[in-house]
Amino acid sequence: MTASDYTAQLIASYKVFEMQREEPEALINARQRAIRHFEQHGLPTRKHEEWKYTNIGKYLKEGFAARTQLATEEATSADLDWAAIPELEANRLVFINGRYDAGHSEIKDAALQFTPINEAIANGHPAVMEAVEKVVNAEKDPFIWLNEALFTDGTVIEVADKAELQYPVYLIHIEKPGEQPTLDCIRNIMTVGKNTKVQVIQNYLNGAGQQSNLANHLTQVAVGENSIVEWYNLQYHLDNALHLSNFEATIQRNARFANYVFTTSGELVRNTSNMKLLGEGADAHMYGLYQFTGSEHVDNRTLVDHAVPHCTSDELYKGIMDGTATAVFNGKIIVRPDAQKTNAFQHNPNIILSDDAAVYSKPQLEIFADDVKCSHGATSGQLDEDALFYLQQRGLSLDDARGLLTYAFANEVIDKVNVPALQAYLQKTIQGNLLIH
Amino acid sequence: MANKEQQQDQVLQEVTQGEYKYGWTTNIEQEFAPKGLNEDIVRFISAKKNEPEWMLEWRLKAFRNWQKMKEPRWPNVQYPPIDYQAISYYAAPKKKKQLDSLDEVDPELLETFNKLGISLEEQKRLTGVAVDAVVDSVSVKTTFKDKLAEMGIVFCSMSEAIQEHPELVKKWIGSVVPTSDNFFAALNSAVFSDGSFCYIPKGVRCPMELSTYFRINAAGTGQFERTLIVAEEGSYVSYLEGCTAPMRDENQLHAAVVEIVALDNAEVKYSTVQNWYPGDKEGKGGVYNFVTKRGICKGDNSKISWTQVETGSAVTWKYPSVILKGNNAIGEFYSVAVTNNYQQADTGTKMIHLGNNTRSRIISKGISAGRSQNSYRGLVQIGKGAKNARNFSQCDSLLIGDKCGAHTFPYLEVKNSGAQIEHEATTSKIGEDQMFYCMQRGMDEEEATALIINGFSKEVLKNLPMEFAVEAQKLLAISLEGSVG
Repeated sequence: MTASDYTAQLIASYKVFEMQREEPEALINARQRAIRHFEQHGLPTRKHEEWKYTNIGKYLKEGFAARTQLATEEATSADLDWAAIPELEANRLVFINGRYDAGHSEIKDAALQFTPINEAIANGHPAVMEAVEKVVNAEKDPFIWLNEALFTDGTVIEVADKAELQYPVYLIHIEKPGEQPTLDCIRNIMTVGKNTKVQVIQNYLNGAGQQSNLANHLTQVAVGENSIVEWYNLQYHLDNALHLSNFEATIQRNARFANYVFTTSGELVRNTSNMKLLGEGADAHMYGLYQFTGSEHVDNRTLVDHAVPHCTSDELYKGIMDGTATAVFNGKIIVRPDAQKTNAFQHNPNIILSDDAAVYSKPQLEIFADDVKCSHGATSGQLDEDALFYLQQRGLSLDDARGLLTYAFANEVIDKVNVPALQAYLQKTIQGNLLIH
Repeated sequence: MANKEQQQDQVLQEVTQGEYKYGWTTNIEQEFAPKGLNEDIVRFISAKKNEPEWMLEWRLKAFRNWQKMKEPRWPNVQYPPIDYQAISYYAAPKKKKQLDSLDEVDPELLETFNKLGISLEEQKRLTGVAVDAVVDSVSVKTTFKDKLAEMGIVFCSMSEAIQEHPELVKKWIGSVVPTSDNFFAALNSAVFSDGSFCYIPKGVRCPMELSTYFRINAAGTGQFERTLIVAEEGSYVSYLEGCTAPMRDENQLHAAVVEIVALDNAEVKYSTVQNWYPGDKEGKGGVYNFVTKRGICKGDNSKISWTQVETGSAVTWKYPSVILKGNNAIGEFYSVAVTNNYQQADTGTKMIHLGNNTRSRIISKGISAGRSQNSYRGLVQIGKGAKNARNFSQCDSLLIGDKCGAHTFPYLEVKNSGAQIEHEATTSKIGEDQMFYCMQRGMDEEEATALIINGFSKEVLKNLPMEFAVEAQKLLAISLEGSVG
């Protein structure tokens, strides 16, 4: 199926979708506007600067049909075992093919206000329209328009001022293809009030067996003054999945937001994270780790927008590439004209272990204020010969020495995780992948 | 505090008064082609230059390619659309006859060079630099030609080379920058009116620096010169290029092409001090500098090194590149780009690693002041077959004032596990403690800034040949005159 055929198919699906949903007029208008934008821009090709290294057309040949009504598939206990993180106690929210599955979900903290997005729409919850009106980076990514037009379900999470949550929020997204692989558009909205703290873990399961769905997530997080929010994305079970995720966060005065992305599988994974620092003293952190041994393609894109003075941002994305995998990193720091006293740092080191693996790195700075300290670095190389020699001299086999050093390289990112059960789980997974015993 | 503001105001005043000191025109009789561009103009230029048939064909092919191309819009610069039909593609000082000695050169032209600070006579005697001066894209005078000829070195204008060494030109022209390479290169290939040609035979080490000066003089013209340097096996040459233009209200277009070929064990060092007219303090006028520069390390153990000091031009679009094809080849790029007032620069390099054990090094220093925008854009590409390739890139930006911008767009493409690539970039302003330290020792603010900027650019400036380094340092100071806040 060609790109233009597929675009036409999606637009036709939208019409079916629109007829089946009963929604407030404002939302319908927004959706129509989005689909018109999508129609205008079409699917991106490699000629688009933002898609230079990710040939999306190649992956869409199957023509994933857009989901036009809520999924009926059920989660099984096997699915949930798959997503289990040992010793993690959390507020668990399960979604299957985008649909909220109340039966398998469990909310422990009374202070957590969760509404499935469809319910929120039906109740006229203001957070939905606010989020819909606030989409930031749509020009560069038609999949954002597509999400806006076609999202079927998702979350509205609210955390009130000074709320005390005892447990992290664990969002589990399971994709189970039916007879035909589908495009699932899922929207997550989270509003965090002032003076509070939330940790969110988001886990994706897709592509087990032969088929996978195309998942298109759009997550919008608003962090209130003096709050701390940590958002962990786990992309460990995406075997041959296609996964597109857009993440947008706005950060107010003296708030701290940290976004983590751990990717070890997926035929195509594209993560776009946009952070907007809107209040003085805001602090954004972005950490990423991708480790591949097969033919995966990962495309991580980050944008930190320093809109006001006295903010800091720090970014570390590390890659370990083996097999025929390809990694793309595109990190941008923008410092607006008045955002003086900004400190912004970005680093993207990569280790390439195979001649068939490839890394494309594009760290960028756009600075319009003078009293700033900004830097970025990107490297690509191998394990240190001297360190390998040192370890072998002390009795480790070459393979063990390699594994240990690679693990140490990865652990710098895992070290930043602040949920102990999750940290242990990540360490174990990476150790397993690198064959360290 | 008020005192500081006053100081800033005063400084701003000075910036706006910092004038372009090369802004005069020379009243030399010129010969123009009619404005506009079509196949007839290409034929006209070719005929004017008395070119052989193959050259005309080559130009026409380029012109047809150009017609199918679109002007690139991706650079991080903004300028009003250029009307390519409003430019005169050929303007030459009227030539009466072939000149044999400097005495026969139009005295007014000589005066031009004296003003530029490159009195040919003096250069000849004192520094031993061979100069090929190009005014409005026509080569006027090449010094030291005979002396170089004794060693087999060919250093002459492009049109002369086409007449006298057609086999060399035919073999190498377009081999590094093909006619279909990009919009401006295609345009240049179609209408280039002159330029320099340099051929260093096998095993010869060129005993002196070769130098070209470019100057746009006539109004409403574009300058399209083409430089080709071929270094045969085991040879060495250091080549300098300097550019100036008079002050004019309208924008002038400069679209040059430079090609370098280095064969086995050859080394070419190419240095540029670019000081085209940058426009006035309101951003009016100035030269559009859209240049394609590329070298190929064709042979094993060859080396190409680009050094550039960019202080002029209203808009710059320029990426001197090296294709590292031979094994153990080395590519280097050293750049200082200064932008002030409304200048915009999008410049950087491309290092394409194809051979084994190839190495490249990129040092780029960007300094932005006033309301200017300064971007570094670079590509480091390691091909699958390039074992043990090594790259180091460093891009530092300095901001002076809060109305300017500094941007960095590096592209790293690595397809090989043996490669080691490092890229780092920083952006900051001049450290307050550094300023304090200097001023405490009795320097005024401007001197201190000049000193710090010189230090910031040292790594690049030290790679310039002696005569140029001095000029470049002065240029840096002039360009930033009074922009301290």
